[in-house]
Amino acid sequence: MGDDKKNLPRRDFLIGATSLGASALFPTPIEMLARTLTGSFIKKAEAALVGEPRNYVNVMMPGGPSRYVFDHWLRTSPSDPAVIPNPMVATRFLSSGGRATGAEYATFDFNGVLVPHMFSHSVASGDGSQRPLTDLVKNALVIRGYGSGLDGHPFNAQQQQAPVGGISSIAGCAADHSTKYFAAVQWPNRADYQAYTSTEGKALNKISGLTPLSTLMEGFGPAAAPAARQLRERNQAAFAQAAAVLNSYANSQNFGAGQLKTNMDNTLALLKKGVKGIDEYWAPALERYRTVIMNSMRASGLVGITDAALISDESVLWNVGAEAGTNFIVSKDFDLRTAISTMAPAAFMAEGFALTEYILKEGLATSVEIWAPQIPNVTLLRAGGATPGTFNVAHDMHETGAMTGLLICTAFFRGLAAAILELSRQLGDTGWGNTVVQVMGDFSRSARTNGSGSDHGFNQMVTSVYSGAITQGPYVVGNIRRSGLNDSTFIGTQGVASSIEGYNQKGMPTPAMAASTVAALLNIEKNPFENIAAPLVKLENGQVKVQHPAKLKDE
Amino acid sequence: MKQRLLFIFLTLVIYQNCGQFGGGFDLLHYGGTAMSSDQMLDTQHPAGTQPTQSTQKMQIANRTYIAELFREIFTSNTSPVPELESLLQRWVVSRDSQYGLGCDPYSTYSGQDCGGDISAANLPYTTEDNTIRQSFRLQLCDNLLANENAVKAALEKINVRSLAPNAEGVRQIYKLFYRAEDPSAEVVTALVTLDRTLAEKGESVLDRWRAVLLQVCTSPGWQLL
Repeated sequence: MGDDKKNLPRRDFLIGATSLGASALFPTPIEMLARTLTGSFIKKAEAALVGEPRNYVNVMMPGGPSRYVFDHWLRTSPSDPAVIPNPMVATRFLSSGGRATGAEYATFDFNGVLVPHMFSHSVASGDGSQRPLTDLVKNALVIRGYGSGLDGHPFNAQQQQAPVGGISSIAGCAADHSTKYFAAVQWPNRADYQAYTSTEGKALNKISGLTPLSTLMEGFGPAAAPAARQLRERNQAAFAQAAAVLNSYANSQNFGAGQLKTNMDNTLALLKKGVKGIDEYWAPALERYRTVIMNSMRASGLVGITDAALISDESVLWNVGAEAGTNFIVSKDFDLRTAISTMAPAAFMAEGFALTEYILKEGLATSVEIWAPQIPNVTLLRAGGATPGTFNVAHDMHETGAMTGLLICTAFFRGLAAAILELSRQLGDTGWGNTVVQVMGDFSRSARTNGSGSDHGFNQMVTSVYSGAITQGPYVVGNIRRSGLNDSTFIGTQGVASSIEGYNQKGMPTPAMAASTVAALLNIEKNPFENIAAPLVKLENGQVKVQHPAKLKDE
Repeated sequence: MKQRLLFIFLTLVIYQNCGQFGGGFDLLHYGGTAMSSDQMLDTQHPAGTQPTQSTQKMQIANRTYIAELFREIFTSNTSPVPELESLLQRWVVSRDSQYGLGCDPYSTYSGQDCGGDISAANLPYTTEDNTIRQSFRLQLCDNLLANENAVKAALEKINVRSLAPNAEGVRQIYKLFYRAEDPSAEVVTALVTLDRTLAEKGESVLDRWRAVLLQVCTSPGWQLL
């Protein structure tokens, strides 16, 4: 039998087990502490099994552009009822005799899902080739059919980033579990759109200025006056020993001392690692993203978009502008296709993607929040005008009509899609598989039936997610209704949110539904939103499992 | 029978006060993951300590506080530090996003003006700590204390008779930055040990003071209010 001392007699075993049971019922304070610590260790061990969270990239489009050409998908299954027409949700121009005569909602079948016409085209790639947009669709998840019920630009942007008070925002969820130097980075400062929170106290590093990468890293460069650093380097061990005590004990009773120490440790670790090659990286990378975005925006000859002349009839469908009073109608003496020939990447857009690429490749941060505001440098000729001018078209496109909106939005989202594809190419299969990009606006748009423009779609929100972890896509979740808003101005299918049968939110799901669904992709130990709104997808064995199939409800 | 009655009595006594754990029979599992360690250690009924709220924010110095603190420590008529203002401007005052406190669009002289860009006008009074901020602060301390006049300017503010650092000296250096806290014995010992190590390695007295100042300056705790 070997070593008998290791074999407990049955009686002794039972006595021991009883003692353990009693101990479980009546723990002493010491035992309570021990169990707490053990529980904590187990929790940490479980977390370790989950591993590092996926990188999370949030692309915010402040103002809330119209997204029907891109990711606000309406009829996604051949079994769905036909959409009720509304010119503001069109995705393709109709033409006759080489001239556009109207617009329609057009889709095509990709992997069993009806996706908007835009994705039938290709965009520019950083290697000089063209890349089909279906490459992006394969990795896409569209989350639609939710809303806040309340108007307001920053409010709705914040609601989608951090829909539940007292717990982390989506970016914070990824950062909560980050072990990287910065945890979370934001550029530019989101000001009123700011909603980052981390219950684990992980820092949000806001970058200001127009050269974000150098701002992010300049503190880690050499000191201009080296005497103090040289002193520290000559006596590294002594300084490190003293620093360990000071960083732990000084003001240690104040709330936040732990967070300060973590950030300081991260600073020292990155300083020790050193920063090299930023200048060599930045200019070519920025130029690469600018080129990819710009060439994709300005593409000509796109079937159903730029293959026929776009000549205005000077009706409201050719309106452009953010607010009544500042808007104008495009001249009948102008081919609207000229508009996109000068279009440039949105301010911050190329820079944001170049910054993100560096951060993710170097493993500097887990959450990155970037910004793609307005659509700059659009050439337009006003009705009655003599010479064209260039304009920045705001995302808050109240007075941008159906025809102008279709062209301008298609061009803008082609640029955005190209940038995401370029990021995925740069990250490679592994990096892209460990990254989740979320495209977010304040809200979608409520589409005016007369085609003159659109308003705040806070009851018809949408967001889309792209990741190498999403395979064999696209996927679409969330229910919408076939009818428009309960208002004669907004007739026609336009993605108004509808309830999900058997879901843990009654009526129109809130932005927590979208947040929970995104969080389900982040590879985090615990989805903090799921008790409030269950995720509509789960990742199981590398496969997306849709929990509630999307419906276009005939209501 | 007596044992069974005792068991039932004790069970009832324990469970009747444990509503705060979220339901009596969860007691057996309270060593799990649902509560913070602060709450775990509370074995008194009713609770003897205040639970930590997850929404509590740290109170941390903003850019104006830090700039003023450095001006106070490093301004001197006898040992002027000409680069003080430019270093503060570069690593603190112009870094509103990292240190908090928005700019003033109506000011052209306060050092907080917006410089023609009002995007930072609505920043909060303070911000949470972050890694970039710490790197900037490290640069400030390193570049400033590279100048021996900065070391001398700081030493003017303390009242120590000995030439080289000693326990009282490091305590006073500490107090220059940590205005509301006396150093703990561990901190004083750590700084004195640092000084002794440098002395044994033959570093100059000035560099030994520089080392103490550098260590306190770069420690993050003094930013907490």
